[in-house]
Amino acid sequence: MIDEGLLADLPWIIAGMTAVTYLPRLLPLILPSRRRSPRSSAEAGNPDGRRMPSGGTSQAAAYRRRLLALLPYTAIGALIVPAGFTAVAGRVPASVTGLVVAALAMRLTKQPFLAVVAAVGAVVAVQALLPPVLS
Amino acid sequence: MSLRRVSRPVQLGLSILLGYIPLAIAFGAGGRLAGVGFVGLVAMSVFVFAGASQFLAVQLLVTGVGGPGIILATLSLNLRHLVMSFALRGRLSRSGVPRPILAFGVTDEVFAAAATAPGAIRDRDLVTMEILAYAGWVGGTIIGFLLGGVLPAAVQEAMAIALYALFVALLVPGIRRFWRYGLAVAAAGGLHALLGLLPLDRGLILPVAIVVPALGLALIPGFHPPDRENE
Repeated sequence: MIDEGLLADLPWIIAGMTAVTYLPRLLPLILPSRRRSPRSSAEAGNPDGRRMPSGGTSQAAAYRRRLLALLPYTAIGALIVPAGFTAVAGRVPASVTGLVVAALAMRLTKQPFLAVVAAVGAVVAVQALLPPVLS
Repeated sequence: MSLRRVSRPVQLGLSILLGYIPLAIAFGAGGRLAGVGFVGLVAMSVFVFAGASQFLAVQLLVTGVGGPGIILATLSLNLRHLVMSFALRGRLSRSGVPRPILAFGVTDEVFAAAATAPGAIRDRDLVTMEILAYAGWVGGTIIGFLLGGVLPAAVQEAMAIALYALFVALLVPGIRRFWRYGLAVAAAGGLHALLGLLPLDRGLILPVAIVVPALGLALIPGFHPPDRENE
């Protein structure tokens, strides 16, 4: 059980947690982006501000595009591995079955909700059919 | 009504809701057992809206850790959202929903659902997913507190796969369009698993496992996503 003094502090704790959760979500969305001004572009020998003969700015833009396109996939990879393999009460076979069924169902139906429902159903079936030691 | 006629954001939002409910029920029921009151638990879900941080906070309260320790742990756990919001910012279409409102609901699952769709992200689509996810999280917390373990244990265990199944489902179209995304997934997952073996702060290894492979793979010029994703 939790100490009464800590429970009395709960409103402040929740306020602090709210702030440190919300700010990392908010700041990148509202802070102004750094843009190259026409003057600095011209000074850098890049009058149109976008493409240089050497490819400097366009290379940076291409790198940024690749980075932003990759981040969702690296985020999902890091979120799935390793936790997804033991998501069902630490049971690897049941968890992996669920993930494989989700991939197959998504491939067949192209409906994410159906893929999720199919995965949950597959896990229920594995748990029912296999003894706990194996599932 | 056919599921195909339900919009993709609603489908994705419902998938997230389905995954959040059992977790939130567990949070509500567990928090009650730990001695946190109804108002405290629901307020945490309403204002913080960050599952892992909330579980951690209750656990730390039980072990006697004070407010500053809990807030620091929450910050370290949520640093990854800097990366996620940064990845969203350039793809959000400009329209009616203020960004401070959109920012509140950028959870891991909402980010993954929004960011893996090709092209620009419409803010109303994002907010649709956020509202459904939020309803699942807050509603599940209330159910968990009031009814305890309302779901049979086997069903609750099986539903724990829902969020990971959603992640996998979100990966499938992207990897079919551009198979090299699969390398990015494997690199980040492998790095996260490896770092998890080391005695490092769990809140820090996740952002590192997300950012480092992306920074490295983006250096490869051939790692071009399809053109329509660049729009």
